[in-house]
This record gives sequence, C-alpha cells and structure tokens, in this order.
Amino acid sequence: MLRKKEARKKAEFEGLVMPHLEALYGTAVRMTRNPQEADDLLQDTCLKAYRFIDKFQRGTNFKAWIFKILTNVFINRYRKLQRDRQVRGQMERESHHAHILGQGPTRDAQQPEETILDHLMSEDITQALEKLPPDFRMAIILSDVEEFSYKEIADIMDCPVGTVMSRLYRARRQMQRLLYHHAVDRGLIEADEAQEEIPGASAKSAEVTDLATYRNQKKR
Amino acid sequence: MQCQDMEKFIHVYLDREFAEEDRADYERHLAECEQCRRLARFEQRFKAQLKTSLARPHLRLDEREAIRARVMQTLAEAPPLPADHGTGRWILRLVPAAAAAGVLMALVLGRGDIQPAVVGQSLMANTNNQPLEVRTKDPHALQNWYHEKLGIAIVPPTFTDGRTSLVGGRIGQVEAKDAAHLLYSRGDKNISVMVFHPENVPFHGMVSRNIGSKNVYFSYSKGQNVAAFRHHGVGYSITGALPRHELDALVRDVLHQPSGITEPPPLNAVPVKAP
Repeated sequence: MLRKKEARKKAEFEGLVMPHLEALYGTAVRMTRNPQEADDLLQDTCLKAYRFIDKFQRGTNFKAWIFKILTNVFINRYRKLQRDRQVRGQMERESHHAHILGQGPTRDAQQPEETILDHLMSEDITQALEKLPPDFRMAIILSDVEEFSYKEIADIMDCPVGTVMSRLYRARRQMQRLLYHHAVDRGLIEADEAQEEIPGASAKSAEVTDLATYRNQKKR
Repeated sequence: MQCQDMEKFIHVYLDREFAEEDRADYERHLAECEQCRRLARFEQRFKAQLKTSLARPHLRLDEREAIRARVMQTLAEAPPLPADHGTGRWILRLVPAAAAAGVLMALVLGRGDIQPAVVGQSLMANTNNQPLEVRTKDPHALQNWYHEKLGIAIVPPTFTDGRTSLVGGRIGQVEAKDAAHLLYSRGDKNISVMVFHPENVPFHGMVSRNIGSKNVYFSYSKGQNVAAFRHHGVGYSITGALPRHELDALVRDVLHQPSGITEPPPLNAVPVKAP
C-alpha cells in the first residue's frame, strides 16, 4: 500500500521533472563550468526536489520551483568549494576591469554599431559569461536562455525585482566590456578613443533601480 | 527625460517588462532619438546573440539518455519520503505565500536531509581534528598497527596525485562498528579515508555515479565532499574539502588498488607509536 503510494509519487515526479532536464543540465553546466560537477548538481537538485515535492503547489510554475532549488543547491555547494578559486578570480577580474573601464560596445557615430558582434564567436560569448560573478551569470542564463520573467527570476534568486534589473543591466554591460576588450586584444577591431565618452559605459552611471525611478525620471 | 536615463532601462524595454503605458512612452522617445534607437538595435542584437551562443549545450542522444538514466537511478535509490510528509501540506496552507516560500527553502536547505550515518561520521572524522593514535608516513607501519588493534591488516591507499600524503591513523566508527580512520594531508587540507566493514552500511539518499563501472555514492556538507563505495568486500569513504572531480581521482586510485585488507604484514614491520 505504502510502496504503491511511493511508486506513484515517483512516477508523478518524473513526469514533472523530465521535460526540464535539459534546461536544468544546461544551466548547471554554465554555472559549474564542468560537465561532471554539473551532473552532480543536477542529481542533487532532483533528489532535493523529490524530497520536497509535497511542498510544490500543483498548478504553479514547476520550472521556476525546481530552478529555485537548483540555484540554492548551487550556492550552498559551491560557495565553499570555490571560495579559493573565486578570490583568485576576483583579483584577476579587478585588474582586468581597471584596464578596460570606460570602454563600451561600439556605438559611436564613426564606427558601424555591429562591429563587435559581427566578429564574435559563440565561444567568446561563453567565455565572457564564465568570467562573470555567479549572481550575474545566473541572471543572464535565467533571462536570456531560459526566458524567465523578472518576477520569476526574483523569486528564483530570492531578491527584489529591482535587484534583478540591476544585475541584468550590470551583467550585460560587463559582458560587453569583456567582449570589447577581447576583440581589441585579438585585433578584430581597433580600440577607439571616442568610446570612452559613450553614455552608460562607465559602471557608475549605470545603476538601475526600479520602475518607480523610471517614472520619476520621466516626470523631470 | 534624458537619454542617459533612458539608457538604464533599455533592457527593461527589450525584455518586455514595461507596463503598456511605460512602454508607449519609451517607444515615443525612441521614435524621436536616433542615438537611443541605435543603442536599442545594438542591445537587441546582443541579446539575440547571447541567446544563440549560450543555448543549452548540444547533447547527443546517448548523453541525454545517460543523464536521464542517472536521474532515474538517483530517484530509484532515494529513501522513502518521511511518513509525516503529508502533514506539511495543510500546515503550509495556513501561512501566507511569501512566508511559505521561506519555510520551503529553509526545509530544502536545512536539516531535511536524510543521510546515512556513514556520511556524518566521515565528515566528523575529517573536521573534528581528533588526535591520531599513530602518526606515520609509512603505509606498512600503519597496516601493522591496525592488525594489532583490529585483528585485520588495513592497507592504506596510495594516491597518485603526488600531493595527498599519509599522516597517520586512528580507530574511528562507521555505524556502530570500529573502522579504520586514515588521515592524509593535501596542502593545508585534511583528507580522511574510512575503511570499514560494509555490511549494514547503507548508502541510500546519496547521489550515485559510476566510476570505472563501480557505483560510487556522493554527498556534501559545509564545503566537504564525501564519496563512499564498496570495493573487494570492504567499505570506503573519502572525505575532504575538494572539488568533486579531484575527489573522483582519489576514488579511482583506491579502485585501482587490489584490496583494502590483506594478510597480516611480516612481523618485522615495527609500528611507529604516536609520541
């Protein structure tokens, strides 16, 4: 009797999780940057989700629910293991940024706006993503790959919608700077002094807050 | 509104997160402003390129099947859900939705884990810094010491990464039985290998994965990874604050070694006692 109930639960859970397996695995690969650890992260996520499946409210968004579990398992699991690596990475990133700060995507009048994008390969973009801090990386994946709404991302990442906006803004800008720098390094495009004057290219002017701010600014 | 203010919300616009009225305003500005239009085009293209480039990694059919099979296996081996599971549902209905989400995550991340005792015992052994009963870099000496203590000769595994070296050993516990706790050092970190009688030591509730055709069970807690497995009739757990792929390498080393228990070593091997 009990066993039958258990089997039914398992079957139901499988039905819920299987359609999202590739999305979960893909996200896990981007977050862990390692297929094997991605597989472990996926297994742990499924195990946790199964354990708490009774807490999932039927009829609500299962994909968002299980992505929230994935995010939390990732944070808990990798925060400590990756601390050493991240401290090193952070230092590299900072000096890197100091060097390229002020350079944005090409969109000045003299240069065609698509120049950078035309020269980039998928691999360049993947590598730039991997250089972002985990929060930024996750925001990009959830929004641009998995197409969750800001509200859903806020729920998954357990933060206000305003934070989602500013994470996405800063993440995309940071990627653009990294890609621009990469393209200049490889000689794909020429560094252009004029770009230092691009609005929004400096990180300070780029704090997105929320829609209320937008409406207030509109009134000015 | 100035272009600079508009620019901050370009993604909100492109992500279609504006309410209708805000969106209409934004588009009115775009219609008037060439600079913002250029930016919008650039960002739109950039988003499209992100989507294409970061699309889920392409999996071959067999890879997809393998991932699926591992999830099915993990689920098949999952311990039964706790008996009081059903009660959670009506309690949950009593709390507002926001609080419920918090409660849920606390449960998911908190002590809801049902882990076999070997996991907790291995973690404790590696983090508690209990004094070693014998301190030696010599595997034979340690083997001899365990033979005296436990009546069996435990063979300390040798690791091939060149930086995980034997420090010594003590008698530990797995479930309610004596086990060999072998301590290794790896840089400034401890690695603990527990060698135990595998009978009545369950690994359920752990994530399993094949390493060299052997089922190896994994768990982690507070930055420590644990791998547990049976090999030649002996139970092993390896514990340390190291990434899973590095732990895998240690597991492989043990699997390549003949057996964890051998005939007693020759009598002339003298144990080195701790000071």
